[in-house]
Amino acid sequence: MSFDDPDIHLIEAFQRGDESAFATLFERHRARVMNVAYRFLGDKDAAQDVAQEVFVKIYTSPKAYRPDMAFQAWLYRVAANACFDELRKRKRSAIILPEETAESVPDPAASPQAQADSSELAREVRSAIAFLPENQRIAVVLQRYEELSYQQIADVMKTSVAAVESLLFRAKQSLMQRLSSYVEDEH
Amino acid sequence: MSRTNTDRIPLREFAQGKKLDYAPQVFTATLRYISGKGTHMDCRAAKRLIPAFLDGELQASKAALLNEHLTECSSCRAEMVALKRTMDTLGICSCMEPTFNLTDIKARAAERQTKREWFSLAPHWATALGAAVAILIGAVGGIGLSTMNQPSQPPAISIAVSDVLNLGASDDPLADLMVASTSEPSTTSDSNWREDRP
Repeated sequence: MSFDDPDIHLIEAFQRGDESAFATLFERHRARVMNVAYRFLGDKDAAQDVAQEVFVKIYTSPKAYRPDMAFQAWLYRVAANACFDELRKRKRSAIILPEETAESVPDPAASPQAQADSSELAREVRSAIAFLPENQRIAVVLQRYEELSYQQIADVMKTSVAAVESLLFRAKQSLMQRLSSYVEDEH
Repeated sequence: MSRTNTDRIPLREFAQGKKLDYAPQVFTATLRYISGKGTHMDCRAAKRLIPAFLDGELQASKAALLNEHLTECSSCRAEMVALKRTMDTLGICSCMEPTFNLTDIKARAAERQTKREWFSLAPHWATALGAAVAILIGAVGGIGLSTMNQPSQPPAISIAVSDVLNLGASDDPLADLMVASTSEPSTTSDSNWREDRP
């Protein structure tokens, strides 16, 4: 962990009561938190709600952060826990995606058929991710979309690099199986 | 993992002490055995390393061994290509722009604070009574739903009350999940690799 991390200075300033420091942290990280939740849950509305919940938790309990962990790792951990809480509320691990929220942003230059295929593929990708066990799912989201290293993921999950490697291996085997027909069709 | 004859450690000869000039060979062969150098990687080990290799997370020594295996094994090359395509396909899942702003966060935080204050002011018996009513409603609702052969869903009021009271909630579900994952039984044959499980 780097003590030159500006996020740590910001959260410490907020812990001392500097509201503008929270505003800066919020602007720096809200899209990141939103997208972790969206990719984990596969549902835009739920992701907006969970992402807000993450920042409400930080806003109401800033002292929950202790500088024995990089701020970003802690933030990802809070976001992951908020996602797990959301899943617990739903009482099921496989997310049923509402059709209206499962659309990806279509490429306006693509043909209508290509847009439809892309949309279907995006839905399948989200579904394949949603079928992963939660710990594999968060590892994939952090690695594939947030581009965290195995060590950074291990820090977020408070586990070993070998455990992360194992989680990702199993997750990617599952994804390869679930998406095999789409991947082959593509090429 | 298959090993060539040249990797055989001449322990018997060494133990018999017949030829002391075997000692350097024993030492070298043992080092090669431990480090894996001079061995051929099998497909199972290779496939296990491919994800980390594609992610650029594999140690140089292991990457070199894997590379060597990939040049000879079309099955593992195909596996690598399929995994690469799968990972590329995941990229189609687009980004979302957050629609909430700082004002929303502060409003939600204020609302949460109000709820907390209300519950902290309420007598303990009122809180307990509220929880009991919520559980009763949840139980009745659960029975009603189960008799209809539908997946049981806790009623909204039960969820709302448990949210406010934080009933049964863990502060760190991710930690719980990682602990749980270490106690679940291995379902595949790759238990040696599942270092997140004892």
